[in-house]
Amino acid sequence: MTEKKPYKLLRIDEVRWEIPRTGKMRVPGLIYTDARTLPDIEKDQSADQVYNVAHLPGIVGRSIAMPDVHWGYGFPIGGVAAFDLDEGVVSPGGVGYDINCGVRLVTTGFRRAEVQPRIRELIDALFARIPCGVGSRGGIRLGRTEFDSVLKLGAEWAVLQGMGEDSDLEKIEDRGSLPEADPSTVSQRAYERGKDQLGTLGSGNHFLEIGFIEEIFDKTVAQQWGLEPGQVTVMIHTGSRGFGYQVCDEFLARMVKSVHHEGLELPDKQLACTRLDSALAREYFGAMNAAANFAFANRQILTHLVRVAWEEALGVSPRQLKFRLLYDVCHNIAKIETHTVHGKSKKVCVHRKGATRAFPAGHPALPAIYRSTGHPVLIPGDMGRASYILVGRSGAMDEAFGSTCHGAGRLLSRHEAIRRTKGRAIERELQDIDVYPRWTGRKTLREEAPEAYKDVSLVVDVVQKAGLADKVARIKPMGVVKG
Amino acid sequence: MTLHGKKNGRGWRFLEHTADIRIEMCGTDLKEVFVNAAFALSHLLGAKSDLPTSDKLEVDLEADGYEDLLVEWLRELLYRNQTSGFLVAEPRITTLTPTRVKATLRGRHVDMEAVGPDFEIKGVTYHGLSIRKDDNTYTATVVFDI
Repeated sequence: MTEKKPYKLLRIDEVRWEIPRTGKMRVPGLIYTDARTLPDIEKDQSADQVYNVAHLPGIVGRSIAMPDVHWGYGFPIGGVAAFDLDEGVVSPGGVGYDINCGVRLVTTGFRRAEVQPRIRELIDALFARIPCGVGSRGGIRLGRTEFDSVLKLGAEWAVLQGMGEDSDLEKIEDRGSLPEADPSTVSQRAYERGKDQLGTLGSGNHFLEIGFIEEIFDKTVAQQWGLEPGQVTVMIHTGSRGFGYQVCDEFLARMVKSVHHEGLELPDKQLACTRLDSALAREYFGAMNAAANFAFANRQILTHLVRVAWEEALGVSPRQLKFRLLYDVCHNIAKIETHTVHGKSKKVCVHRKGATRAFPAGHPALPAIYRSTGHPVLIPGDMGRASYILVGRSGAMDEAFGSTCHGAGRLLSRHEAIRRTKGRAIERELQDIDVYPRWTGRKTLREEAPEAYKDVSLVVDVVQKAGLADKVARIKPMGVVKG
Repeated sequence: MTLHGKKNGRGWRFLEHTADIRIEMCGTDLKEVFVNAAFALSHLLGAKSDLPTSDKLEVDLEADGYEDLLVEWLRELLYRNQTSGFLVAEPRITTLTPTRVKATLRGRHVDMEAVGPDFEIKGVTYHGLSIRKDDNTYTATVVFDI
């Protein structure tokens, strides 16, 4: 028997479904999806979560879900919600445990034909060099004072240590350093949990992938970004590791208590939040931004480790390798940004939980190199099919607080993925489609099998049709390191 | 009611959740629910059934109500594991009130990289958190973010 929902899900057009305001909802819900991706969304409770988020105090516009949305805890994964600075709230659950989980893409001077014959030795070298797996440690160990410098400086800290170039910084969202970071708001426990994890990949859906540009969709933008068919790329997906998890955990616990004092009514305890003008909100912002900077530094360090491993494994010089950072995006974050609400420009607090910023051409926050195109938006898919490079469009600003999707979106639970792949050699299946994997966890490959995810091509088709972002290029994986 | 996980006789089991891990645990009293929650977490963290009990930790935690206390309890066990590799084999709860849990934990500090658990548990969430009583059985549900 189908459970009766307290809301309706109505089709507006080919790629938009609305949850009209009802009951105590403060705004409507909007889900970007189509006939092909909607059935998967209806299978779990993600639409319920879009409905729940629409109840939060001070939410403006709509409670939004991208086509890769899936059932999270509290907020859906693939959700965007913006809040008025006077009336609204900030919620650690709306950012996620893995604060500034994100993706970066590096291009190289290599062609597919040059790398394919040596993909095994390259992936093996990366697997040996990059600390990965559950609770992976052995990265860079720092005392508290230096650790606090990482939290203040973010990616710049790694560049100052010789891991990258100054020019990398303009190719990272917010230059890889959020100035609101305040190490004094970070607990000793968070430090303890994160101190050995800087420069580590982690596990689960985090990965490091070598791929090549299989198809270019927008030749003009691709040319401006230096992308060519057949060019080999490196994609890194990781975040703030145990440090960010602990920051989220502690502030959630405090806000579960504070909601009572603040008189906030919530449909789910995991939506625990605090008013944006409270002292607790300021403290959370200080710690959350510190964790975001940790993640920026982490991806910068990992990029350096990949560069060194590649040069050693294939015996090439930096000049031959031509490692060039294209961009680095966060997809778990809350930011104060200026958007148009009810026709007026105002500052709001945008939560992107499993959603990517997609500022289009001309946006004032863009670095000069991307001012005329919009910044690259990186959308990883599963390890067998494809990933995409998109560019933001004006529709993202008009409707979705400058946001778009963040990936393929999980389709099967981990247990279901393991059940469905029983008796199969996923490693062999991947190799049959020219993807060489290395991994640590006993069940990682089966949990992360391509069929556990939605088809990312369907997801990006929806955001393109909705006018949020345009396809620039598609990347096909060649080899992957999973934790 | 007895819950059956992958092996019969456990006081907890996995429930479906797309992205995360949802666990249901039961007990004839709340202490048993908390003990089974600790066992479930130890299992997720890769503990084997013959885990030694040579190391000891004391915990004394406070929260508002049994549900929040259950989250606090699991959060503490997770933190101890993530920072020192402690895995619980024998949780002995000495005090359990709606606002406080006090316990002696016997288990072992291990090298977690050698244990190699299947999941990295990021946190213990409040999503769908519940403790309910039917007849003489308490049942709790908790979602772990992984």
